Amino acid sequence: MEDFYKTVLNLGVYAPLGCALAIACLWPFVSARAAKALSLAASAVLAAAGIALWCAMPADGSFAFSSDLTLAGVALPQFALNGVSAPIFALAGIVGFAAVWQAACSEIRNAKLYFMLLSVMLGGLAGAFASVNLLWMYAFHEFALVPTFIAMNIWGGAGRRMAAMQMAVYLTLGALVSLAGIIALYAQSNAGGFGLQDIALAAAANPLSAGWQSAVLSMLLFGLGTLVSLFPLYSWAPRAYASAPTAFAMLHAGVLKKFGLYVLIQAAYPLLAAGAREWAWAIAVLALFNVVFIGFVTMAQRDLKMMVAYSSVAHMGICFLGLASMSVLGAGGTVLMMFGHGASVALMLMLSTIIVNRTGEWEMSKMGGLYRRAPVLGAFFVAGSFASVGLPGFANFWGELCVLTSLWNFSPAVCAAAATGIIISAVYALRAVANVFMGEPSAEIAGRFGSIADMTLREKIPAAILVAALLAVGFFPKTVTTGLDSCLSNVAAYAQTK
Amino acid sequence: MENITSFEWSAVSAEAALFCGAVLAVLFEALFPKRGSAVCAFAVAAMIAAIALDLLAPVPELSFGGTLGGRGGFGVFITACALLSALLGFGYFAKGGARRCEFLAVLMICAAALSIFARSRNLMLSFVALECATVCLYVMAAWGRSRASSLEGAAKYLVISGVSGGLFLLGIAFVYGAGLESGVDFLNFENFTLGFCSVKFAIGMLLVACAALFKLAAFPFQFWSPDVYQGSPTPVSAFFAVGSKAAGIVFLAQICLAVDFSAVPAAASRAAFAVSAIAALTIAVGNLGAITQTNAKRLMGFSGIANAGYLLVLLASLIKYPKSAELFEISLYFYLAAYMFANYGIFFVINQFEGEDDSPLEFSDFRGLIRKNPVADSTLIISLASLAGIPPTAGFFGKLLILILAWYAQLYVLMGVMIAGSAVSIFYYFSWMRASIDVGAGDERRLRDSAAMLPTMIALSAATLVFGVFFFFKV
Repeated sequence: MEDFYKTVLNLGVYAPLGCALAIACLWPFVSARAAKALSLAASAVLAAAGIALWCAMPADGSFAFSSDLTLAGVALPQFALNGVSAPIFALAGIVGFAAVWQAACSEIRNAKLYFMLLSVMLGGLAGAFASVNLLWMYAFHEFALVPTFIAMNIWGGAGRRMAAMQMAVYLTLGALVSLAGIIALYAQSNAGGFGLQDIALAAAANPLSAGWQSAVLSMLLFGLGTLVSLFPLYSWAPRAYASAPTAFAMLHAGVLKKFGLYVLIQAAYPLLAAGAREWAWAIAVLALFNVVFIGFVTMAQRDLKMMVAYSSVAHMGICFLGLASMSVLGAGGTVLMMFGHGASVALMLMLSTIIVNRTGEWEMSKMGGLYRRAPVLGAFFVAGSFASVGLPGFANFWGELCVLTSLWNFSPAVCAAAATGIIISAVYALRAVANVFMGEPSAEIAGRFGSIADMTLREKIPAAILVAALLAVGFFPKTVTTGLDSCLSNVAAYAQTK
Repeated sequence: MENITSFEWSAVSAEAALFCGAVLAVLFEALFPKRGSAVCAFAVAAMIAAIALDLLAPVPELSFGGTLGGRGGFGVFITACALLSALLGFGYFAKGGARRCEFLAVLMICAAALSIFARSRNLMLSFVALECATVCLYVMAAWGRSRASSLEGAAKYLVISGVSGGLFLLGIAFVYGAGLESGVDFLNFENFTLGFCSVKFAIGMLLVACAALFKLAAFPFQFWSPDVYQGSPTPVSAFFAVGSKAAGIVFLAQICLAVDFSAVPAAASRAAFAVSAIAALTIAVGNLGAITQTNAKRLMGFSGIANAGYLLVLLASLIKYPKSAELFEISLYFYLAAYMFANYGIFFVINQFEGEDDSPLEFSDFRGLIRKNPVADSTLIISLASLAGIPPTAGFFGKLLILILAWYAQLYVLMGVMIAGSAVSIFYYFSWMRASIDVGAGDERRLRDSAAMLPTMIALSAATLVFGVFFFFKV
């Protein structure tokens, strides 16, 4: 059985990459339809692999399904999943499938290139969360950057050139600084390689001094924080998500952005407990800026897509607060939040594209009354909004609950400030629902109001998948928390504070 | 008693193959003026033979009375550059350039001279080899002599390389003088460590280093390179960008490897500081200068300056942490190979445009390349990503190795400068990439209908990816 799961894991990572390679190599022979079908199949393989491995995850949460394939005598990268990476790997599959499906049923010019780039990005994502080697993680993550840049420039919306360039420069700077941190970790611990296990063993035998830990963590925090749009290095994110082509925005905001948090939880905190303790307050303060300040900025947005994009920056603050609390509960809450936010923001980005396309308007005040014409669209939008506010029943609820509970032990004041973020997010999310779906149609869309159609069956499927994922974890959080708990409770960084 | 037969002539078999090939090519051209293609084929065969000799023929560690060292990887590298430039040259001459056989001959002599330059273990031999190469480079830069831009670049190069040659010679005089005082032949690399207690020797070495920094296009000797890259015919620009630059850093590396820096700690820390400062300034000047460029070949000039800075970071790490010598050599050649694949990839794409003169090519001329020639555009994107250091390309690992060595040498500030420079470089590399994927119609220059260059482009971009991915499996 173990061999079977190893194969499944390899299949999941290599299917999208193989699909991209096949489209590139057989360029003149592959039609746009075939490219569409191929990448949809590849993303389905990844999604199925992710869900299967998540269900098969052993309860102790340690690294499982470790695969060491060799190709012509060369060892391929080692993949394995543990309690932290299994749900995020599954998230990559689920959001990836929804994004490819969404792209497959929309009109795209030059579709062959679009699906090739999408497959490259998906393969990069899958590899980043399945790797157990810091350098491989880093490389797979960066692998997704160039496709996003190209796609934004070709298919992006208004302001795409500036947004794409800004995103590329910010993300590369962040990635390079975190690379310096990774090099520091490798060199200071005298590890034999960049494997997580190698570094962990070396660091256990030869612990880093507190000063070094703090310095290395600061580099990782600055670099990875930029990737997760931690205040004040967030400004690339809203513009990029608002102007990127929808499928790429879904993958980027939903999955790729979680990479920074993932590396902090998976690699940095277990190795750098003293450094983490030193930086906890700094993280908490910056994250509060994300929650409160960006929350207010989100409230002020009139453009629907910008509102969704800013809300995703605001929610990253909650994730960082979970880390700052230095507890198993908080870090676990962060992972739950990563899962919940990933699915919900992808859903919201997809729905807002549909709304903008149907109404021909960007500003929420120029919509209104859509409930009457598109009840299903409205229902999905309400579900997505409730999820991102963190109402019970959705995965986000458990994430926010865990983070806020753990914050109380860290500092009641921070906890109180963070709780206002929930109220702020309720204000903007519910106001969006009211502006777009309730009331009377505005004068701008009154003329074509009769021709606005509800979601088609093909559009409903990806939305239903994302809502199902949110509800599944919302109702059965143990599917995530059992593995997480045993995985995180061994980590020294979370042991000092309860 | 040494005489001409007592030297180990087999030590220079590869260089001799290049040199004799060049001489014979010119002779054949004169005798059979109608058989140009056959002569070109002969020249290419001579280059391949030189690479084979470089790889296979055994060479003593020291020869020619201790003035010539063993064969590092540089011989293969520089001959591969010459071969790629020759291939580029076929495209260039098909577009209208004249005198292709002579061009190949000069190119081969230049490669042979640079190879000797990098192998020499004696400053006098270095000087002679360097001057031989410089004269060839000057001639090649002026190859498009009907164009003002080519002549301007060549004249600039002539004047500035004359100055740097003079500095080199003056440096040698100082070093020799220091040697006379202490009775040791300081011109030989093996005695360098002894020399570091003498002020005259230090001044001399500083002047010698200036000449190498000029070849490397490092601050403050960088300002010629954008003009020369822009004005020269594209095959020559590529050779300047890769071959001549590599010779400069390899020469400096040979000197640093010959010195036992742990024996002279005070001098070592001063040298490390000086090289670090030059590296930081070079990175800053190259990257900041590149931001405003929209001309393709000028941008390559500034990108070359920035890369010279990264190579100097590597050198500073070696001086500060001499124990890393082995890793240093691997990193140096890996970086140079990655740089060669990426640069030649880009120059091959530039060479695809119609017309003999590539110097006015702007980013806007690349618009729609993705539609018109997907292979060329993929090559451009992969090569630019490699220069920008995006994994899994070879360029990423080049940078990674440099950063690791800099960390071991505790050059933290320099690492920061390098990271900042790399982040800035994203802007101009990606601007170019963006222009090439722009599908809007424009009055861009036409592309040649030539499929002959496509296999080389595919090979170069495959090499960039394979080198990168291969390295992954080693970590």
